[in-house]
Amino acid sequence: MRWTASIFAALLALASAPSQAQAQEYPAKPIRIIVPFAPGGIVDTAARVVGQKLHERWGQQVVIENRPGGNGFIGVMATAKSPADGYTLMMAHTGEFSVNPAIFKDVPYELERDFIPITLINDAPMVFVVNSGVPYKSMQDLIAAAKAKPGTVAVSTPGTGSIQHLLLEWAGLATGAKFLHVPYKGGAPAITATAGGEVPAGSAAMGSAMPHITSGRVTVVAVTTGKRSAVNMSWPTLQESGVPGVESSIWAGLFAPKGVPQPIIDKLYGELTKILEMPDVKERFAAGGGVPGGMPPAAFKAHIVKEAAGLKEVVIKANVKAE
Amino acid sequence: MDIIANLALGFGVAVTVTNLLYCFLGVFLGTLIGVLPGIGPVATVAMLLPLTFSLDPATAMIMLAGIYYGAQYGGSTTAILVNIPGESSSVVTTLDGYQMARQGRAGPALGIAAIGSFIAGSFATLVVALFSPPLAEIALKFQPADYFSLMVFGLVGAVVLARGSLRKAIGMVVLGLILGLVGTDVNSGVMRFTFGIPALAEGISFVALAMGLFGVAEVIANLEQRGKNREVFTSRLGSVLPSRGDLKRSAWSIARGTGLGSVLGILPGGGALLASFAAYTIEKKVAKPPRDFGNGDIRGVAAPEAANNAGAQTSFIPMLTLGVPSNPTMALMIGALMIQGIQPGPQVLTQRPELFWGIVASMWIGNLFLLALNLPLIGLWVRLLAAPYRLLFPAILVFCCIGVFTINNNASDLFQLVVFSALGYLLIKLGCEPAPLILGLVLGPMMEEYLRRALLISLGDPTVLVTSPLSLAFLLAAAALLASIAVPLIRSKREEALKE
Amino acid sequence: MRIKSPSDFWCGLLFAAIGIAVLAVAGQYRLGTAARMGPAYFPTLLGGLLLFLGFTLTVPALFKDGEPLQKLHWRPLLMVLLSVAVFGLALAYLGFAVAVAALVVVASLANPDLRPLETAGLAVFLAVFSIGLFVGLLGVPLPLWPGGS
Repeated sequence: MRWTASIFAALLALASAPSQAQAQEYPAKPIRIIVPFAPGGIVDTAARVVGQKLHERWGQQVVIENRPGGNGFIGVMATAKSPADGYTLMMAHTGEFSVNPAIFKDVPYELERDFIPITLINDAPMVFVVNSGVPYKSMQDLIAAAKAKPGTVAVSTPGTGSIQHLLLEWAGLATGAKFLHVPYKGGAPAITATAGGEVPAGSAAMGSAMPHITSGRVTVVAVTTGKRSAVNMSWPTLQESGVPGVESSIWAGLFAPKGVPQPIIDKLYGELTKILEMPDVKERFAAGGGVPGGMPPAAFKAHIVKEAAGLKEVVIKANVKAE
Repeated sequence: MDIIANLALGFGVAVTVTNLLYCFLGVFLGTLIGVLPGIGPVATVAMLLPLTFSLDPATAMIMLAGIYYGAQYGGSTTAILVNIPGESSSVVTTLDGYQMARQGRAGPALGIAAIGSFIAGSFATLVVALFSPPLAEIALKFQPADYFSLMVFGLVGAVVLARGSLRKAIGMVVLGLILGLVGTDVNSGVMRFTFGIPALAEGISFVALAMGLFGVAEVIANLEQRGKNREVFTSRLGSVLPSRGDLKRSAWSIARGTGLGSVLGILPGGGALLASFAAYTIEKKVAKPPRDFGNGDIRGVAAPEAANNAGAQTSFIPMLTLGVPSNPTMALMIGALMIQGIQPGPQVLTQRPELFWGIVASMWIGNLFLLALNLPLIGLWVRLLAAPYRLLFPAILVFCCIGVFTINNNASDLFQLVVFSALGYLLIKLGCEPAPLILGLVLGPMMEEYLRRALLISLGDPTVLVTSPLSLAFLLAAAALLASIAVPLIRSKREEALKE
Repeated sequence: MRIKSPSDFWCGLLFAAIGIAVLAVAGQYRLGTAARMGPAYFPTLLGGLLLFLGFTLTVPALFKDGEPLQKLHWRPLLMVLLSVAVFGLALAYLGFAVAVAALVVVASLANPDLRPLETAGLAVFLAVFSIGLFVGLLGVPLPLWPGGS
């Protein structure tokens, strides 16, 4: 009797011991990465690039599962409810953790309560663009026009409450200019509208604007990151264009549900830093102006928390509502 | 001539052993999965998409295009055989196609769909090859006001689709418009009619609605005919291929459908869908004698099928050059392009000519495969209908459920299916036809979006709707169409009154 | 008073009821003006239009003869709807294989001349076929068995 009990106890200990043994065996079965979007786009691409590399290095299948819809709520909640064993991860972006809490009253998840950020994967700038046929040639021109005739200079964005929209409002707050926000249903229609001259300007992800930048239909007047972009060093930043203190980007990052043992997080982070150093990965992200991330989990979390607070302030001050 | 060089480049890419093989594989798998009742083109493409990730971009796109045609034709097949339209553009096919199937003429219906699609596809491919660059420019010139007026025209046309009561048909369009409101309002970001359900934020699942209103509701209606269960379809098989007379009767319908589809497909967003509806409306107005429409007229299958396939080809123009999808399936294909590291846009034509022209060439080859594959298979599909309905209907339900689920991997979409099936059954019982509802659902949100955007950009000046010549033309056409519906109605009422 | 055209009458009532519901929900949103439409503008317009259409169907139906109402058959309706709902629930908790089989069994109850053996065979066949095709061949990520994620 006693020995069965002790064996049982030992087994129990073995089963519940998180620690080294588990991390060494990890991954012992296929990993799935949930993407709260349809295939294609910056977040899905980040997941596929990383998934492919993890598969090559670990020999385990990495399945990308697209769970689109509901402003990302559906995919995020599916991840939050998954077992915290390291076999379900999520590739999410600025929208889920920095934008949604700022614009929605009831967000069913919380970063702190439900997730462990692992690391930032791809950090891509946004751009302010103008139709090449309009008289505005710089961000300063655009701001001056919006100040001269408030509410008449139309700027396209991929939607109300998108990061591009918040960025536009933020730039307005910082300069006192009042733009006419024209929302579209996604990035492609928005940039197409600027390229076709339906609206004179646009706030867009660099990746989705790239085709029309190359074709010359639109001209970049500012990039939104703190530093100029390696894609074209002649494009000024917002700071340099008289928009003080405004700095933003679209990042994609990997998350795990809360409760995944620390050794597994460490192992994933270690592997990802190596993957993000690979030239082909860098090249893949660079097409859309992206820079591979790799910041440690704690720094990544701090980055999100700071960004979310900043955007919340923009939303309150500019009175953006997603009622 | 540039065009010859371009096409030569295209065929050079498309006619390699590898690419021919993947083109065939795409068409084959697309047809195979798409022909399962309930698994429409969106679900088919979503399921087969991962097969292309490991291929190089041109091969991947060629295979995907093949999958797309295959799935689309598969969707038309189920529309005809079991009244389940795979996507919005094959809704019209159910009107006469399913009636033909019930009369034992499934074979000719499927045959004319295949032949019409092939002719339309070949012609539209030529249009794409000849006019792509200028056409992309035209699409860019379309302003929100023009789109709004086009949608108005389309919705007026939707009313013509109905056979029965005009008031009920208008009601169905309005109900469709209302269902289309569900989801996030593009202009304000407000979530309307979502009742706190996250799955509804992006609107009602079109597939769940179409499967419910058409497929599942039809299953329920068929089941209630006790004892007659085995006679949902006539046991008489009839001829498998369209007769010479059928072909002769449909020739002009195919031509008109092809022309309409080629033109409307170029418009980003909704163009290809409008094509099939508009083609049917026009047939109903011009074809002589018009009496059979809605009761299994072969021209009611030929015209919309030709239009929908021509539209499917030419909608590659806005897809590849602007990155703007014309339907959910195209949106998936854009996703696939981006996974390949290609951002759709005008530069595709100049920077990746081999990709662009390779796809154009493979379009034609794909259509040829489609015809060669499907004509012999028609006999098999028709014979499947002879299976006892008690075995057929659970299979239909299983595939409908799988089709609805796999699009978003979301079980809550299945509960939408339950709701819409009940609604569909109720509508059948009340003598309402669901086809106009579908058009309202798809066009409604766009109509509102474009109108409000037009007014937003014009700073609230409504004259934009008539100062743009295109917009004015569409509005006038809509008014003329409305008059053509209303005048005979008023006249017949008066005659009726005089008789009494 | 006798309803002379029941089909139109009930259809009109359904339209009117939906119209009123739409108007009620739309009342929560901002209306705006014709030049600057708010999120409630279109819904209010459409709800009103459907309500009006409802009346044009219902009121004449009281006076003018028309089609009778078709009889509702509850058994196929409920069983088929139930089978889809069961599939949805079973998929979430019991996995795909059980879900397909459960759907087939419940749906078969819609048919008065039930053949248990045939139904069981069909359930097994469709489960095996769908798993083989979608999961085996195409690798669609479906939860197969109970407890699977």
